Amino acid sequence: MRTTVGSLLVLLLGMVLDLHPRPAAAAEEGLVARGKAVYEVSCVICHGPKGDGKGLTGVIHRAQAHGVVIQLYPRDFTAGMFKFRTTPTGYLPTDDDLLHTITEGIPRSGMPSHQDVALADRQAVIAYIKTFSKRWQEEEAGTPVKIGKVPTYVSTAESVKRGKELYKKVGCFQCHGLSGKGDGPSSDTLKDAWGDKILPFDFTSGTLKMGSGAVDIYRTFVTGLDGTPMPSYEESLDEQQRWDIVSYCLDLMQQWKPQVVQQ
Amino acid sequence: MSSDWLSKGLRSWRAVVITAVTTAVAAALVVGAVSFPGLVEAKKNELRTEVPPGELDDYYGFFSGGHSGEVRVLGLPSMRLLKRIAVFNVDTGSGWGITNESKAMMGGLIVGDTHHAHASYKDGTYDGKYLFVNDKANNRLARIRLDLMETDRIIKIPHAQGTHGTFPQRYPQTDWVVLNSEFRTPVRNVGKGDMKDAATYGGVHTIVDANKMEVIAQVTVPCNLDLAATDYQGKYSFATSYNAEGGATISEMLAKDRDWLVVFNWDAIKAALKKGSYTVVDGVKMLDGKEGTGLALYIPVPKNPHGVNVSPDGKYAIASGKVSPTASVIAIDKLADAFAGKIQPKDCIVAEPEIGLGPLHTTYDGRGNAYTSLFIDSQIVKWNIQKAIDLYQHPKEGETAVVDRLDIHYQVGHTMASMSETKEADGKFLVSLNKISKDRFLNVGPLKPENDQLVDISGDKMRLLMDEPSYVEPHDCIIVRRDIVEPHVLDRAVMDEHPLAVHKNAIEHNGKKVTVHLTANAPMYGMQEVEVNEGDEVTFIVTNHDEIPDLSHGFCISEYNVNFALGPFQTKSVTFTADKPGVYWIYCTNFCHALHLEMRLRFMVKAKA
Repeated sequence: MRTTVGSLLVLLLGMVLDLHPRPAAAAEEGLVARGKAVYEVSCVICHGPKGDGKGLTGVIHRAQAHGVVIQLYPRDFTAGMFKFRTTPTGYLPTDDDLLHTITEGIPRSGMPSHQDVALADRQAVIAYIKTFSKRWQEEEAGTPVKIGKVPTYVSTAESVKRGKELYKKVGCFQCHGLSGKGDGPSSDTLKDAWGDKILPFDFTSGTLKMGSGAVDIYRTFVTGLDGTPMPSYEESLDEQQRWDIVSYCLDLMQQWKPQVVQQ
Repeated sequence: MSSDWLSKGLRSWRAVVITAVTTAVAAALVVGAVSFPGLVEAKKNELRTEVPPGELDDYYGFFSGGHSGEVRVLGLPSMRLLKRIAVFNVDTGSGWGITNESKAMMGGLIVGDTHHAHASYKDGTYDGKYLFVNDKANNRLARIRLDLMETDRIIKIPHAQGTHGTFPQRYPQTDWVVLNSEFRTPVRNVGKGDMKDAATYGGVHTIVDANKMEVIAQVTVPCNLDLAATDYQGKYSFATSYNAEGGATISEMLAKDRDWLVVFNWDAIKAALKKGSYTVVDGVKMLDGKEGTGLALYIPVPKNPHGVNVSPDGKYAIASGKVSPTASVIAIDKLADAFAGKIQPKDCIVAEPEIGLGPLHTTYDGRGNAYTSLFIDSQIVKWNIQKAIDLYQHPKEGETAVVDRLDIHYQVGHTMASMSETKEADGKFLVSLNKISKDRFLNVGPLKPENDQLVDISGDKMRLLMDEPSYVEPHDCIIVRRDIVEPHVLDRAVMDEHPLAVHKNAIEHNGKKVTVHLTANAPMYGMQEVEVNEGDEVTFIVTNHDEIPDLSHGFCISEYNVNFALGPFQTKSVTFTADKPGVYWIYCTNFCHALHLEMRLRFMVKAKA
């Protein structure tokens, strides 16, 4: 009897274990298939059929600094490495991070907004993008870094002053330049994880790719931009120091906004 | 992660082809955009008269566009047309007159008549910041930003018709710009009273705040006011008046043998404004500048004068009478005594050399010589100012101040030498802006181009270098050294200067109002489709996020009569009613990428039920 009951339990358990994954896998397969269909309509032209960023468009974006033209390519999904995340450096982005980039696009790059694509399709394409790199099977996405409210001292004269000191001390100027123009001493030598030449941000030039607000800049300091020379300062700076540099970055951007012409 | 496998990765043949095309286009775009300052500049003291392909000019020429309503930028000495700046006219290429930004400035007007484009000054030379230009047709003043070479502000000049002569303050910097009204009208021109009685008409000398672009005050005079100039000390402005008679017909206007050069005394104007010695008409402070008020001095000059130009040393204002073969040299250092009543206005004239028929405008080489355009003789005459003064005091039989004459083709109006309207006149080039080209170019029908001729004035004899056909109708120009302008000129706009610059693609619905915030990045707009309902009032705000020089985008909505172009980081907007249901492709009109043709999105207007 015991054996029978035991066998039954084993059987039931086996059935549960065996049967349960089946609908999930099917659903996953359906999602991936749907994502593939969407990808092939909206994404393949730049990111390529293999997800390696080698679509027909080729160079999607060209930047220029100091008379040198730099070519930028669409994201290569096979590396499983993403610049714009809310997760700590080295971690995979969350689905919300990817959804944000897909939905809003990336200003100053060729990545357009896809708010005209149905939400379910955007979610499906995320599932498909994850098939390009093994990282998604081997690792969990990170947990978003918590960022509190913007402290009241941000953008005060004292904070800007402290930020300016830190900007020099920490070495931000090495890449971004003393005047924030992206022309620091190492600016010409920078390369990304793919070995392509990359430009540090010029604070005098306009919007940041993931937003130009205080929180957006702070987030970059705690997540780093993976795959680029921009590191995370989560360990090396304390919270106030990071906010002080935010103040200084905002100041650099503000300084270069010309007087708005009276209309 | 090795870069090798990525960069050396196999691509499909199509990808290779497309990439090659893309790269070629990128290279083409970039090569065209990168400049190498200093590489091709003329050697010191060497007059370069030819500019081979790939090399850059030594001067910017800013030409008015006459009744085309625009301003043109030429490179000198090549005389290549570099840019047409839309000002008072509609230009479907740039979208001027189509975009909300330009329409707000134009106020529904599409006719303009630009005559005099003058740049802003600091300490008697150009500062490279602004260009001011008049509209004689609809009586406006426009300001062009030289960093973008685009129109920045347009203001209406009240109580004025024939807003013609325009000149900025030269010292200590351009705080004021003055404008003359060439056509006398009733001051309050509202169709009341006896409109035929020309004695009730007047002219106005308008003073504009160059920074705020607001009218500060207007000085009323009984006569008309034509060309304008300012001195080099911030004390006076000048205006020729060819209708001292106050006539309304051509016979009446030609009655007297002498008309006037009117000089306005800025200290006296400032004092009168401070004292409140003005009346306010339609919100404008109006000062009475008739003889005896001390605001204006009326110097009698031969008949029906047109041009007035101040010499680069700041000493003389030279005016010419169209129907007198002379030029009148007015010593500026005598004006104070004349205003004080110590001498007569006519005593300010220190020379009146006979130079030729139909003298109009005078320009300078900075070496003491004046070059006057002779409309009737079709010549530029070069004469020495000091010699003219000496001969006026001690005439010598058979001696003349004239040094050289050059035939031009034909009927010259304005003439301008390089840097001549500054204290840095360099005496290298002169442009003769001829009204008539007749047989100088291939025949293009009854309406022929004008002929702007380039002349080398660096030697003793003038030398004709080049004919340049131009479309209706540059009246005047200034020739500015490259090093003054070029450092200010931007390759990309400052994005957030436009309050609506798009950082995030979005469609906002607010009842029947739909606002589309759209980015443009080669080869894509930030959204692939936009859907609205028939009858919606749609606003598109578009920002070009491409940052490399010369990567411009266009924005054309098929069947909706909308097009404009956006340079790097520029934002423009347009508002219209979606009154045609259906699918309409919005496409990029400014070639931007190998996939430029694919840079489009669907504008879908859903029909009313």
